[in-house]
Amino acid sequence: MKNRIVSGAGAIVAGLLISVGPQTIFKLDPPMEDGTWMTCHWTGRAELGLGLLIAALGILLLLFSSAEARLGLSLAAVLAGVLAVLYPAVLIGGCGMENMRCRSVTFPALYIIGSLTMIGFALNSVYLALSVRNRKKGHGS
Amino acid sequence: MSGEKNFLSFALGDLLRRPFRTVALLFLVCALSFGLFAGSLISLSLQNGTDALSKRLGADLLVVPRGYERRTQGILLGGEPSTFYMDAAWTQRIAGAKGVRAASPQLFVATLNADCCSSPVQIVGFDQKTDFTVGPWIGSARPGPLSMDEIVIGGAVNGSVGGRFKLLGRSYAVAAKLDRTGTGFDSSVFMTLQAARRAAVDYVKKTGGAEVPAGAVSSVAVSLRDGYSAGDVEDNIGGAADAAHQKISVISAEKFVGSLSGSLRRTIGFAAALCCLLWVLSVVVLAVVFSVALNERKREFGLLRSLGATKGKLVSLVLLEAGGVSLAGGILGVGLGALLLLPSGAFLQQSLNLPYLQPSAPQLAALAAASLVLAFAAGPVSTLASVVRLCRDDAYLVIREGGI
Amino acid sequence: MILTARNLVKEYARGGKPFRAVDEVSLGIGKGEFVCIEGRSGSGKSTLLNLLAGILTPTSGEIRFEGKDYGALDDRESSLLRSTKLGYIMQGQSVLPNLTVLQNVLLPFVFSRRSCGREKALSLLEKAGLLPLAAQYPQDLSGGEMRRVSIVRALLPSPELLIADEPTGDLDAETTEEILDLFRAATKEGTAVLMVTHDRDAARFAGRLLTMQAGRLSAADPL
Repeated sequence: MKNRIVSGAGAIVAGLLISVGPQTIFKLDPPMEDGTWMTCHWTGRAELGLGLLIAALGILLLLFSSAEARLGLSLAAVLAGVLAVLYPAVLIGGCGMENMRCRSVTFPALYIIGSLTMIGFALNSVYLALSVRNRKKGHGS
Repeated sequence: MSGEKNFLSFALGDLLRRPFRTVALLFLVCALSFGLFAGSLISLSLQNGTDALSKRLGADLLVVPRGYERRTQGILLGGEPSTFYMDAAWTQRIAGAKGVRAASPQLFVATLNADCCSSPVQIVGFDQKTDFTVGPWIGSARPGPLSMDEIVIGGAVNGSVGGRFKLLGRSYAVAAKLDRTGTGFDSSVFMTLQAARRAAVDYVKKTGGAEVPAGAVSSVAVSLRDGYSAGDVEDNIGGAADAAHQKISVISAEKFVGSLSGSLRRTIGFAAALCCLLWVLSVVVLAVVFSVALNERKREFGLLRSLGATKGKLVSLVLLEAGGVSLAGGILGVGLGALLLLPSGAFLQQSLNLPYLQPSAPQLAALAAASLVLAFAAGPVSTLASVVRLCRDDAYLVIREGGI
Repeated sequence: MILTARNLVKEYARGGKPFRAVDEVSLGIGKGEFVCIEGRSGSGKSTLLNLLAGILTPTSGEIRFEGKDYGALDDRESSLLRSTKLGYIMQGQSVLPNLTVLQNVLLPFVFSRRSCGREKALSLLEKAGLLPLAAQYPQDLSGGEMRRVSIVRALLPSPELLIADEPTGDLDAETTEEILDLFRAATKEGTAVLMVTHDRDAARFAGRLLTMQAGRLSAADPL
């Protein structure tokens, strides 16, 4: 029960930060003078969708009691965390200059939250895998 | 059926059997190692940045229009790009002042748009004939004079050697890219004085501001003759300014860097003292917790003694548990510190408005290792008193009548 | 004699004054003997047992186990003695709650380099009627079952001498009988038993009965 609540709440918080953060707390750069969006804007859009997906995984983690199901959801959250880091770092990117807001504030925040999501749910997956294995051993002996 | 336990798994198993206590101790050691690593990383980065700034300045004095001292410092430390001018005749006047070995003009022009993004860069135009500040750095990256259409970009500017870079609507060839310094030079673009004057005209066309005065300069970099102090030459230049009823300001590079270094030294000293205090506090708290825990386990230890455990084995048990917690906590703290601080270099430089240059990979590894060792040591050190009791006291371990 | 003690004294300071918990005790235990010491709480019984088990150093006096003087042994040698030739059953519960029954029984092997006697442990557990509980944790066991686990653990290395401090304390009559049966079976296999109790009924099972009073040992009144 504790694992459900902690992992579910964790994913929801991480997901909301990833999706909404670049629009609010660690805002991306505004558009250029002629109204054109810069590259980082599209990273923000991708993270919006990805963050909502992670939050949805969190809701599912709260709902499912089966350890196997939550193991699958945790693994999905790990991969989503990897993607949260890859979007700004490699796949889409952002502005060229390092003193731009996206490079100095938004992307570091996404790297940190994405990495914590990855690591946290990797550990959760190990914990759930061991629980499943121990439970099976207990039934078997 | 589950198998028998060996000594190591028995010791570490005890940590798992007391999750609340273990997590609390882990958190404490994690905070300790995070504090040590983060504190030393930030301190070293500030130190590196200040050293780089002092090397890069090159000049002993910088003469700028009066009232523009702050904006000049901003350019040096990496703040807002600026455009300002003073009379070009000053170059000659300053060069002729007593104690001046060399004087070289520079022109600062802010761009509005570097074409990829809306973050302006600072254009620094320098006189290739008289320059002695920018040239030596550019010279190592690109020997030979620059043409009107060539630029050298700072380490944080988004461009590559051989590529093209658009500034104020004009395209330039990137002749070289400088190493990072953690200062304002990183987001600057260097070109010839004539090219910078042309860029200033472009700037005026776009912003509709005042016309660029002919032969305008923003500052004059001054190198002192041997035997003359910065103060004397400041006075000499100041005297010439008063005579001409002109308002200029002389910035002493030594004082500027010195004041940065001075406050940095104080900050680093304060941070180091805090780290020491943190370490001592952690050891004390760990010692108290372990002492209470071992007291609770007197009966268990008495049992283990009666089953044939030597005093040495009991000591190993205690040290393994303390070492296990502090190793895990140490790794966690250093990892967290690296995760939070390494991507945040640019943010820290902007927030602190100080030169900030993150250490090289070997320096980082050394910092991480040192923080880890200190955090790890806290565990076993904190158990010393309990360990001494274990070794010394028969009666401590013996179960008295009544069972406790 | 496998164990001899001569003029044992253990003195503590109590309220600034010296206090003798064990006062000039001499004792001998032969192979396969079943000796019982009875006495009231505070008479020094547990202190005497700790001295004889070698985990407490006497203020004066001599203890010899199979001719070896305890005083001449270093910590490593006396620990080895305790793990191979001496079985000690503490007063109260002495099973670790975080280990299974089998892990508790095999605990002495965690601290020694000997190969573990897993097969022998399982066989002893079976004799004690505990085999089905081998994978259980102490929280699932009754008081009597836990006490039997301690006894199996003490008997596992086939000790020469088994020292038991109040092994039947707070147990019912039937469980007491089961435990004393285990002791009797051990003496038949050549293990001497030294038991401390204040249960007169349990003391009847012993071959020799002694009384401890104010730190002094004497032969008991006939039962």
